[in-house]
Amino acid sequence: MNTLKRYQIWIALAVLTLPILARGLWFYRGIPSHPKIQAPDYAGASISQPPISTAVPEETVNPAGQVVVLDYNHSNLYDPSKIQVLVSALTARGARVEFDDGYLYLDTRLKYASAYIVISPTYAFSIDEANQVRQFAQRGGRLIVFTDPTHGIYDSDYISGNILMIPDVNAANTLLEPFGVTFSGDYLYNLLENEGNFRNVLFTQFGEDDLTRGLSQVALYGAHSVSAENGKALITGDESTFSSLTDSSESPLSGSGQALAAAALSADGNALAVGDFTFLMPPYNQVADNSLLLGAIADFALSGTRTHTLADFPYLFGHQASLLTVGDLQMTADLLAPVASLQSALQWTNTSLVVAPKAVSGSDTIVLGLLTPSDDLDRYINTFDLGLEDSASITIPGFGQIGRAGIGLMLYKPGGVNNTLILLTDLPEDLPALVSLLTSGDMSACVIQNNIGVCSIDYSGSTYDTTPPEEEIQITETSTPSG
Amino acid sequence: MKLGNQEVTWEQVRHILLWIALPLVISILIAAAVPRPVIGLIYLNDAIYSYTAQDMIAQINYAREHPEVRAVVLVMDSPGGTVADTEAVYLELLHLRQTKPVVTSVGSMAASGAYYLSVGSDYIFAKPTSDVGNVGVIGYLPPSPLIFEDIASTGPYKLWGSPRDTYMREMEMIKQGFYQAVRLGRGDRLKVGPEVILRGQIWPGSEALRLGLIDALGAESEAVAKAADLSRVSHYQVADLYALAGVQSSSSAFFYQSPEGISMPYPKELGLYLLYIPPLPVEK
Repeated sequence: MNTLKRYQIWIALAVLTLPILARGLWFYRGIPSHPKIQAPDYAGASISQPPISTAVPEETVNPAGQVVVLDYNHSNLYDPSKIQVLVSALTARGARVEFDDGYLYLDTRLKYASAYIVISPTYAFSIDEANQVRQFAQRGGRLIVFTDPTHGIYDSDYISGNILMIPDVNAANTLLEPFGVTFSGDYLYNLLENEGNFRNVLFTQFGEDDLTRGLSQVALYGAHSVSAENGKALITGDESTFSSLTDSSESPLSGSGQALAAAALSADGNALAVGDFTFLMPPYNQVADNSLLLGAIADFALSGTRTHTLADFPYLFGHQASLLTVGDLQMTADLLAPVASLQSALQWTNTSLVVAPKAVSGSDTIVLGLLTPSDDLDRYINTFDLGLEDSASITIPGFGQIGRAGIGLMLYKPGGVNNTLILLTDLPEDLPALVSLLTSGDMSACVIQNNIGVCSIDYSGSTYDTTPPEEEIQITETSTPSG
Repeated sequence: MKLGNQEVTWEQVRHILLWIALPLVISILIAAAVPRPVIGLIYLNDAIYSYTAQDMIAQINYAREHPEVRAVVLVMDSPGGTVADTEAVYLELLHLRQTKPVVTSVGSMAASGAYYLSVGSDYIFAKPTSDVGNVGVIGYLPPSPLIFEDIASTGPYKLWGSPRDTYMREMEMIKQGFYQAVRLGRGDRLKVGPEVILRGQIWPGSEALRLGLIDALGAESEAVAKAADLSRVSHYQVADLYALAGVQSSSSAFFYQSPEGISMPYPKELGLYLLYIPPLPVEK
């Protein structure tokens, strides 16, 4: 009986569970596994802080009173008030900063400038301007060009309507082309380690140069890449710094294997190109070694060994110049008027001209004389190796023999604090014209080679022949085929 | 009583009823109470902002609280949205995933914040040309602090929220959180590093599969099947959780509307977004 009961219970249990089990198995095939779920560590995230600014050594003040010209005449995309840190760095070093707003010709400003700084230009430089800047740099002037990928001209594509940005590198490259330096229209970025944003790149690799001495980390806030043919890459990105053009760490301009550079120096060492200028502005100038870099750029601007040539007149002299005559030349009334004009012209450049019987020590000198050999003239011209013995012609190194009649010679002898300018003509009557030619600053009548200028005196005084031709052209009617 | 050739006594009938029929009836009744599993669908066909996020959270909570909902399929067609709302939905999804699998089926787009939500699921399906990715943050920087003659405030950033620089750094912090979410969600399945992911690129589904941003190319039905597989159920029913959760339809315009009433693809309010803003269409 007990056995029967046990069977009955088992059957009842089986009957009881079977439908439930059947339905359960119909729907559920097992117990799902649950992966370990992990949430991002939001609490551990924090807003990054910029690297601490490095202390900047005291700047060396240059008492020479150099002038730095800042371009503001090529639709430059910067606000002068925002680059006051750069301006202050230059003035603290004894320089005077001028903004070139087009009031004077560029070549005039470059005559006296030590450095020419161009920031984010959008209006292309003309061939003349590019040549003037190239010659300026060849004579030891410094060219510094900043561009910035966050600056450019916004436009829209005519066909698609898409927003386009014409970068500032186009205009800058027209200026830098003679130096073999080229900006790329990209921007650099680093997704892994950056200064608060992928486009704010921290650079720790530097080419060896005075400009990079002491730098260990520089933060640039949106930078174009730049390459310098045979030049020097000054600030280069690491393997995780990419160009937006290629999304790779290789320079889009220099080809494979070349690291991306945000700043480069031309082969001649006179042109510096930096792909960012946001780092010049507060508060970004206070991050990492940016202040050091800014100071090094200011030093670079003022460290050129600027040599002046005749073409730089009237910016050849210091604060004082003495004018004296040599040989048989006498100061005459005819000569006084152009000398007075010369005095005015030099006053405009803060040079006071005084007439003196002999050279004044520590002062620049302007010598007026004739193309006649004399002992006191020889003191000034012996280094030029002129041949004045022939009565019909003179011999000038580099020019050969030139007839005396109607020509004037300008000879410039730079000597640090004692610069000498010598003006010579064959006849005393021609000298006022030569002085006037110099004062006008228009040297188009002169052939200038190095520091010797040979000028045609007649040219400046020539007049066009206004006599009408003997036979005037008669305009006659031409009959049409129809008569 | 005679059953066939065998004489069955009432006692025996009583025994059968007591030990077989009654348990069977009880068992059938209990078995009927075993619910048919449900694969819940949560649709996101808009940007992620306060209203859509609330709707999604209500549906996620419903799925979590109802045992018959064995898995959830997120059906995505969204360019992303605000940071806080995306994070809110994402965290709720993680909570749900602790008990129930979640599968994402990308329609035409799961960009930025929508991809953020996708990586909060166990498995991601997309179509070959779905737009997937766009990992990153976009924001309009506040203006530099100004003061006004007629508006007084008690601090330089009371009117502007935060300094521009801090705002930019905050974006970077959010981006890192986003990337962490991608890394945690995708794990070893992710075949590319941050230098690729963080570019913010948007990829077609087939490329996203190659990069490990998604798991498979497939239709919504395959996503449902995968969800059923992960939750180990069969003969399930598929239900839209929007109706089941009793979500009250409410919305406001997230995107900017031009004076002509044309909806533009960028938000109407300034702020930080996990949002993909496509190029504007051609203007004639």
